[in-house]
Amino acid sequence: MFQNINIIYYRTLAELKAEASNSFAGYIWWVLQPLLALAVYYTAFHWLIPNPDQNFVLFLFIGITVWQFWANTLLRSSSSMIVYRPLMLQLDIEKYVFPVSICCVNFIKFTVAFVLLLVLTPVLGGILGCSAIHLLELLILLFLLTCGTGMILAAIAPFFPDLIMVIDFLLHLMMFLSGVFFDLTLLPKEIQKLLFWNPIASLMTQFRKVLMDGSVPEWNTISYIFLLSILLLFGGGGLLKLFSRKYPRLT
Amino acid sequence: MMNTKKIVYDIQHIEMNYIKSATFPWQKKKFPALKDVNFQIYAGDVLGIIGRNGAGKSTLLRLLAGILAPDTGEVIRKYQHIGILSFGSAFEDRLSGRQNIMLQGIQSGVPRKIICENEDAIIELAGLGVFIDQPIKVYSTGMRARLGFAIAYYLHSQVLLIDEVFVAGDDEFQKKAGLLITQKIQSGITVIMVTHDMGVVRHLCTRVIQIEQGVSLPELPVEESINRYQNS
Repeated sequence: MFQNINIIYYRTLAELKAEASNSFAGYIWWVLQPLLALAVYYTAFHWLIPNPDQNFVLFLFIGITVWQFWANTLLRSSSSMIVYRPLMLQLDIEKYVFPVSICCVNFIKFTVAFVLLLVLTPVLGGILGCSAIHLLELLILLFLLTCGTGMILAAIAPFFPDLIMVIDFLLHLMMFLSGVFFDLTLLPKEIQKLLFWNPIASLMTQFRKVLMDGSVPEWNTISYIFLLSILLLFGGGGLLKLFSRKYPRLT
Repeated sequence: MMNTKKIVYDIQHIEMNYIKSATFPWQKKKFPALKDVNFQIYAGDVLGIIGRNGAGKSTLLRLLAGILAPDTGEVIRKYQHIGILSFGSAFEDRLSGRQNIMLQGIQSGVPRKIICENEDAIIELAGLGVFIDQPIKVYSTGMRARLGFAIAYYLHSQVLLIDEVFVAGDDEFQKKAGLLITQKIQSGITVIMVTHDMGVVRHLCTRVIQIEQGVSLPELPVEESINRYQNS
């Protein structure tokens, strides 16, 4: 287990160094990317379609930052068994290190963007009060949920190659059903009840509660996401272990 | 006469297929790689695995490394997590040679302390000069082979699994690699190599296994095995 943690650590470091060395701006892209996405969605959902909400920029920034981490990690994790097959054909390596290190890489990049978000929160009309301490548990939940979901997708996708295309489409759909651009509480109650079963939508709402309203997260939502994350982590880990020697055989 | 040396690998009637994955079950296809392979490897053996292209040699090496599991039969191995020395396709292309040394070592299960202790020796053996700090993507096949060989030489201490590395690389590298493997053999390490180079087999191997169409042929002495292979 310790050796695998070491592998995840070094793979994460290696990936971060490699990404930074591949572009001129290097590490600056970790901050630029969410800001550029914010600019694009702000233009579409506030300037082109006027929105009376004065805190809309902060609302949008929280949504985009959380969403980008979630979506990028899931997309990359789902193809990890295929992308890293050449490595698997040379080394007997625990397969979960691939989706977990992808999650760690993206989480570090997300953290940089999140720090920027925290700095801008008071400027954009948000509140950084005592309830901000709850951000730590929300960040842990976000990591566990994303990691677990990534592991499940990594385990299943190689057996159904077309699934990776479907995942891309489903993530686009999910983006519109997760309250990234609009407040889900504005929808009819029946639809809200359905959409809040979407863990990323619920988690995004909790982040907004803390940063925009200065209130504490809802415990029943936290509990639901925590239990779901644990299930996904164990399920994903179990499947990756079960199929460990099958992945290198898939052509 | 019974071999009194310790058994490092016991391969018992193994069969293994590759699978072309598809979304629907009826689209999936099986490609047989090994049909019936059966032999034992003892500590200190230098085993050459020979056979035509597509015979199943590299697949057998992966079974020995624990990367693949057979569909039927059993592979009993004394050591776990043995990496294969190949053309360096396990390298991370965007990272430098130096960074890949650490990454490869960690992924092979070698403690960080041992990697650091051997890093300078690996760099010297690879003979890449200033290229050691350049990304692997600018390396030639020969340079990758030299780096991969150097890493395996210093970091794989129990078993060396070699997959046709002698093909890539100039004459100087091939001579140097042959000499170093000889030194390793004298230290008692078990070496298993897939090669098409019968000169290497004659010079280095103490035993030869020939694989043809996924089946291991009855074992013969080295020279007779080579003759059987060349006359088939």
